[in-house]
Amino acid sequence: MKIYINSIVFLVLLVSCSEKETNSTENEVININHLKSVVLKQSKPLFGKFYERFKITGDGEYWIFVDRMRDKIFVFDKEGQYINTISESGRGPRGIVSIDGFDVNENNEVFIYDASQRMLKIYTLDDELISSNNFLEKVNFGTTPLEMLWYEGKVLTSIIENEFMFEPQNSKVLALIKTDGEIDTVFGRFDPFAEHDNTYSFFNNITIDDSSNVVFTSLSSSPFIQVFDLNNFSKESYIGAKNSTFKVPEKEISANLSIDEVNRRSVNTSRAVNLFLTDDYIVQHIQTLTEEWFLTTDYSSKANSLIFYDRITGEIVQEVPVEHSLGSVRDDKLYFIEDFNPDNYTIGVYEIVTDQK
Amino acid sequence: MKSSLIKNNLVLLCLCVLFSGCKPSSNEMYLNKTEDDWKAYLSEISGKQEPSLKNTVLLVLKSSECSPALNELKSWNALDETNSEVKVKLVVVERYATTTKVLLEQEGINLPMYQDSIALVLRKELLPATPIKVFIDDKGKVKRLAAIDSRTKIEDFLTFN
Repeated sequence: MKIYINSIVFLVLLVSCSEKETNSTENEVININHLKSVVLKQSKPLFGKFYERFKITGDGEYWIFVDRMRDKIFVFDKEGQYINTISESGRGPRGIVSIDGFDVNENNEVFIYDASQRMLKIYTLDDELISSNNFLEKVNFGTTPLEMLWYEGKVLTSIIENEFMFEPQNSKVLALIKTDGEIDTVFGRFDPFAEHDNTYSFFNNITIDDSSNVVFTSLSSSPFIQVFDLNNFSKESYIGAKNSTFKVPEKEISANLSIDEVNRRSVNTSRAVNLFLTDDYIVQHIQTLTEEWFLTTDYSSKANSLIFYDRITGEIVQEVPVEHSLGSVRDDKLYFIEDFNPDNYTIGVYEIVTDQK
Repeated sequence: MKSSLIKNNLVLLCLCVLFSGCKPSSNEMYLNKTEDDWKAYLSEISGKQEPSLKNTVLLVLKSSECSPALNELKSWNALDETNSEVKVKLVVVERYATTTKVLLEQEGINLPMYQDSIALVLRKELLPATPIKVFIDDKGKVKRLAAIDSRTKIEDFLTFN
């Protein structure tokens, strides 16, 4: 049984452990400046509701979205012109039933993980099928929806082991898998904060620093970030700090509660929903789940903030409340979703400007 | 059953635990609502005077529901095409009209549909959550509520002792 007061004690310990000596980042002030807004043009087929995150190709030319209404990938160019969709609906050779993971690599190859079929299919950006393989057919873990990335021709994903579903703090957290479905390595452990988050959450966000071969991962119910070395699969560091703005549920949220009770207990709690890298910063996207969100599931009804960590020291530089949800980051530009209305779906492109105090 | 669910469909379990919960609420206060309450609500979201809701099943769900709910929707859609005794109507809680349109197009649903863009059905406490189906009987009484989740046969939902 999780006891709230234990969480408090643990949090106090963590906060005191994370205090650092004064450093240069304390003199930085981060501003986010708007550069332009781009409206996606609807075409045929219509898209209905994109997930809050999207991918950008390595050259920055194309934006890739998943429509959760159609379970289909939509490709737009950077001016918002519709280019094409990728894959077909169904179970045929090119068919996709559900999109549970996707990413694009530097060669503009798009993989789609379809958990309904337990298959990984790889397409070109022009919708040509490159390969199709059984994937994660006989494994003792599940994957986190949409948390899959290309890494050196393989797929890196966050996982939870089946036997630790209700004690996630004991589960391994990451898996590197070959595109033919063979498991390469299962490694890392869940954020220890999982024992104190009151939610049994097992969503782990991931982002990869290809230049130094490390993966950053943050449990959605935790303000902390784990860093793993992809050369030897060991834990490199544990960064972040519990602060007053990251709120965990006061009462435990378990699967045997009623729907409305789960919602009640989750109102005004925080979720780490994504991790990104810029040249200078690790950017952690935090959302606060509002009562309006639970009523409407309208993405724009959640509150958003970004926590900027110094990429070298791992220290927190600044938390910046932002108006919109952060959909992607590429080449030091932040891409916010300014309007979720599919008839006026708007991406705002912003730059980070760092000033000295 | 829970064990097999965990092993076979982790994705759905994740969504359930985090965003929905698993156990339905007590339905008593919602069973005390009347046809008139529902007609007033539907008039408010549609801007039209509503005809009788006697012998009507209302399917209320959000556009983001998982596949079990959407699969059951297809069964009701099929029933509506063959059964004239019970009317079936759909209420989609969704802010944007195009999202609703795409959902229905994708799932092949052509039931009479209302769009509730502000989740008024929950604000008015006609229901505790979504997705839920409501049966209003021939006397205008809310006779039964149940989750829309493909677990029960729709014929059973309409059968009373």
